[in-house]
This record gives sequence, structure tokens and C-alpha cells, in this order.
Amino acid sequence: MTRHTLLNLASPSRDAFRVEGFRFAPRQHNDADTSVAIVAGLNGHELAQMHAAAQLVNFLQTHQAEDPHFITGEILIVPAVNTFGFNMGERNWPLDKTDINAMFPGFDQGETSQRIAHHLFEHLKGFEWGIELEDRRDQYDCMPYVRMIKSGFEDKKAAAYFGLQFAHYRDFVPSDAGSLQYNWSVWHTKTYGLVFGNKQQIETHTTNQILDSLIRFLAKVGAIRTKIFAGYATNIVTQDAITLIPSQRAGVFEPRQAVGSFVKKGDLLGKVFDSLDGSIREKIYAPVDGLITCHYHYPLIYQNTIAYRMISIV
Amino acid sequence: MLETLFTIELPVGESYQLKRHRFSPNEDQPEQGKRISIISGTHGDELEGVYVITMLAEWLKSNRDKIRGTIDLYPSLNSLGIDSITRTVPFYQADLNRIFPGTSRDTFPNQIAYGIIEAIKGSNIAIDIHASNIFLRELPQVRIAKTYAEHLVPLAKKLNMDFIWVHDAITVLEATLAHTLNSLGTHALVVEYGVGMRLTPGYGQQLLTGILNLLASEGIIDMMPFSVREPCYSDHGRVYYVNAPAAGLFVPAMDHCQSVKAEQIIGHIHDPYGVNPPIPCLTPGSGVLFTLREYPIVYEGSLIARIFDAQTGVCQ
Repeated sequence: MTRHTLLNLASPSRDAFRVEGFRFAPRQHNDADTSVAIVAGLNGHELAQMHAAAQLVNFLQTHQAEDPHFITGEILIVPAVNTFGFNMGERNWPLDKTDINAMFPGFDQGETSQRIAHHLFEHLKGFEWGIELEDRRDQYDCMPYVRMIKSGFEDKKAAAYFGLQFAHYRDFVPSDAGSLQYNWSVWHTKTYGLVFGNKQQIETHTTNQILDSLIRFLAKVGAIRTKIFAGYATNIVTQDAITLIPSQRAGVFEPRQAVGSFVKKGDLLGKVFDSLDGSIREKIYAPVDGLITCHYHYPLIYQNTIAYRMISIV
Repeated sequence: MLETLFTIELPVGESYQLKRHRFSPNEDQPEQGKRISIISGTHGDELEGVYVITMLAEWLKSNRDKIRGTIDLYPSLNSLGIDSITRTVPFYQADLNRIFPGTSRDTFPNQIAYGIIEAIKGSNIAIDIHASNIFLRELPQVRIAKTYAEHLVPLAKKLNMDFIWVHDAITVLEATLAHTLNSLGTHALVVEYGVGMRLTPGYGQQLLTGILNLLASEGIIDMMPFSVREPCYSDHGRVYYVNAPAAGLFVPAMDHCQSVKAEQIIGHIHDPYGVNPPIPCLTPGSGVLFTLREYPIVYEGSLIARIFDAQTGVCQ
């Protein structure tokens, strides 16, 4: 393993902004069977994502030390990009609040976050596989899943290599245009988003599940040589299999079903209470049979906000 | 007539309300003549448009006999943000101007975006007024995506602005209010000037004259068109960008809006610890300094200035 400073940007007053990358390669570079880049922490709230990536660095380093033939492909892992954001509890670039993950492919003569994206992307281009570890921007507790954007370069079959329960395969939307995942695909890298974790929290169980998924993927594409359980047979889910269940009223939200539960039509999913007098404003029921993939994860809910997301067999 | 178009219940004893102040010849009838929507406050730290709309409302109240069409005023789309100096939609930190057209059943910001489109669509013309953010001071300008330039530039020239900037379409901007309205058949213009969190009353008066001129030209008010300035037009020149070459404290050496020549010093970037000498920022070409950095702290790449080099000599 070698550690590289991929980006070093001076600050007006504080320490320099640095992005670190960890490279693994076979003993003979020409022997690499494939190449994989894994990036986490494009925003400063992605604590679970950074931790999972760092745990993977540690895993690979340990096994490479034990077995010189363990690494069979080129691997680059970037556990944290927006390090300033992490150190300040801020999601975006702290000065101008721009989202680094909306600035790709970047611009070397542009604004600071465009330059960060540009210099980072120069290191990330050309990999066969690209994996972005990310959280959800909204307040949801979700089962870990794979996200694929239709781009013409997606590999649906390999989405199952992670062994997660489902992969969400969706159309491009305009807000994808500046994301790392989409731009990777424009440069012909086969990319996946691994979406997991709650905002600004680290859950050991989920971290271990994602670590297993990444190891499984690296083994399946031939980047490492190891044995691992097969994981789930991943369901590829498109929009027509997803049911969104909104709260009709605002108030205090009490979820009654956990993510990962299978429910029947008519089962109680949650309640909304009046925040001030405590009365029940609404009971939310499952409109279909299916698997709960996400629920709203904050005690206060706004009117018409999606309380639950479910997938069904269609 | 002040109307509440839709509400979204908030968790604790409050509702978000989208309000509009409508002026028409006869308030008992729903809509008459051409309909124009004047909009501000998608970003909660931009107050220039709020001020212009208050002045326009005062003018319309004093000149009701001249109204021939429907004039809808929406001063505070992101009302929670406007009332709390928050650029984004609070709690979600969502940029409202990057999520249009929104959806009726999703997050709070998406519901706001959806409701706004439902309210405004069908207007013949819309003017979405932005201040700059807190970092940059801007000359009064109209920004237009090239896709819609043919229809929008003639309208923009009536607005008494200094500069019309026609830019290439950027995919991410497809999620803006103006793009969404244009795609739905409303001629939507984006006006930008001044600086975030502040008012520039002179620019506000300038735009008020322009809006009244547009209303008169379109027959929405019964008046002779006003005399307005001839704007610079970006198709007849080029825009230079000046980005900070290093981090530090930027101190300008020029006034905003002044004419410049190539290789002049716009300002210096100072090392806060005083170890390194100040670094000069130079103009890359001649023209009008239409954007100048207002907030002093910069990193490498922070935008310092934009200069428009008019090749036709039409700028006044």
C-alpha cells in the first residue's frame, strides 16, 4: 500500500486542505486484472462512509502484508474528500457552501470546489470500476442499497456482486449532472453508488455489512483474492416497483415498522401526533404488500412528506 | 388582492404559505389581459427583489386606473429563509432554485417548488429577481440560457438593465425556476444585481423603471413606454473571469462597474500572517468590471471579478 496526497490546497489561516488516497497494486503492476476506485466523504456528514472506506484500507493492508498475492488489481481508496467539512460538522465546502459532489468533472480555472473536483477527478479517471459511498441527502433511514443511473455504461449484472438486497436502477435527472457517479460513467467507468447510513452517525452493523459488500465486489471483479460469503441475490428495482407513502399531516412522527420488514397491505406503519396537544393526527397504513426499504428518520415530520418507501414484486 | 395559494403544515404550530399579491383591472374576475409574474426570494439571503416588489406594489396601488392586465407579485418564495437570513430552505438545506419543478408529495422543499410552478405556470412573462450571493457584487443584468434567447432578449432589453448575458445551457440549471417556466411556455427572465443580505436602492429604482417599461410595452399598464438604457449584450463581446491565484484576504483596488484596461490591478490578496507579500490580481483584458468580490476571504479559485469586453461599443 502507498499513501498519496491527491490534493493540497492552502488556506488563508488554518491548516492546508489535503485529500489522501491509498493505492494497492499487485507486485507487478502489469499483472493487474482490473482497477477499482472507491471514494467516500464527498460531503462532511458522511461519517459512516468514511469509516467503512477506512476499514477497507485497513483490511486490504493487513491481508496484503500476510499474502503478497492477495492484491490482484489496482485499487485506489479515498476515505474523505471534504475533510474541512468533517472537522466542522458541515456537509458542503465550508466557505461558500457549495456541494463538491455537484462540481464534477470540475474546472481547473474555476472556483475552489470546481478545482477540488477537477484535481480529484484527474486521479479517478480511467478506472474500470468506480464506487461512490454516500448517504442520502434527506432524513431517511434506509436499507443499504446500490444505486445505478442509466447512462449507457452501467453494468447491471455486476451490481449483484455487492450482495445487497436490492439495487435501485433509475433514470438520469438534471441534478445528477455534476455528480461524481454520473461523470465517471461519462468517462466510461462502470459506476455504482452504495447508499447507506444515517446522517452523522456510525453504526457498526452497517459498517460491517458495507465492508463485506466491498470485499465481495473486489473479489468478484478480480481485484483481490479471497473467500467470502455470497451475500443476497440482488433484486434490480426500477421506479414502477417503488411505492411512496406520504404523511397527510405534520407533527411528531412515530415509526412502527423497521426498515427491512415485510408488511401486508393494511398493516400499521406509523403514527403522526399533534406536536402540542398529543392527539393522534394520522395513522399511516401500508397500501400494498412489500418490503420497507426506507422510513423517515426525524421526530418531526412535515405535511405530505414521504414517511415510508416500499418495494413490491411487480 | 393578497391571496394564499397553498399551505404546507409544519410540525409545530405553523404553516408554510405561498402568498401572492395580484393586481388586475377588476379583482372580481380571475385573470384579465396578459399575465406577468414578478418573483423574488428563492434564495433567503437575497433581498434586492423583495425591495423592488414593494416599490412596484406601491406604484400599482397608486395607479390602479392604468392596469390592463394581470400582475402577480411573489416577493418571498422561500419565506422561512427570507425571515431568517437562510439562503437554502431551512432544515433541508436545499437550494430551492435547483429542485424545480418539484413534486407534490416529497420533501418540504420539493413541495414548495411544485406549488410555485402550479401557481405561476400560465403566465405570459415571469421575472425572477435575484441579488448576488454574499460573496460578489453584480452590475444590474439579465441572464438568459441560449436555448431561449430568441424570445427573451427582446424582452430583456426593455428592463433598463446594464448587461444581458446569454450563456450556454448547463444541464444542472435545468432544475431552476426560470428554466422550468420557459419549458412550460412562460417567457421567464432572470435578473441579478447587487449583493446578498443587502439592498442597493439605486439599482432597485433602475429595475422598477425597467419593469414599468416592460409592462407598458406589453400593454399590461396603459402608459407610454419609459426611456431606458441600452444594455451591453454578451453576444457582442466576451466575458473574462478572474479567480484568486492564492488563499488570503482580498482587498479591492477598484470600484465596481468601472471601465478597465488589460493588466490593471483589481486588488491584492494579503497573507493574514504577513509572511508573504500581497499578491496582485490583474485584469486579463479591457472592459467593464461587472462583477467584483465583496467578501474578502478567498481560497485559490475563489471568483474575484468578471469583466465584459464589449466589442461593438454599445455600452453606455
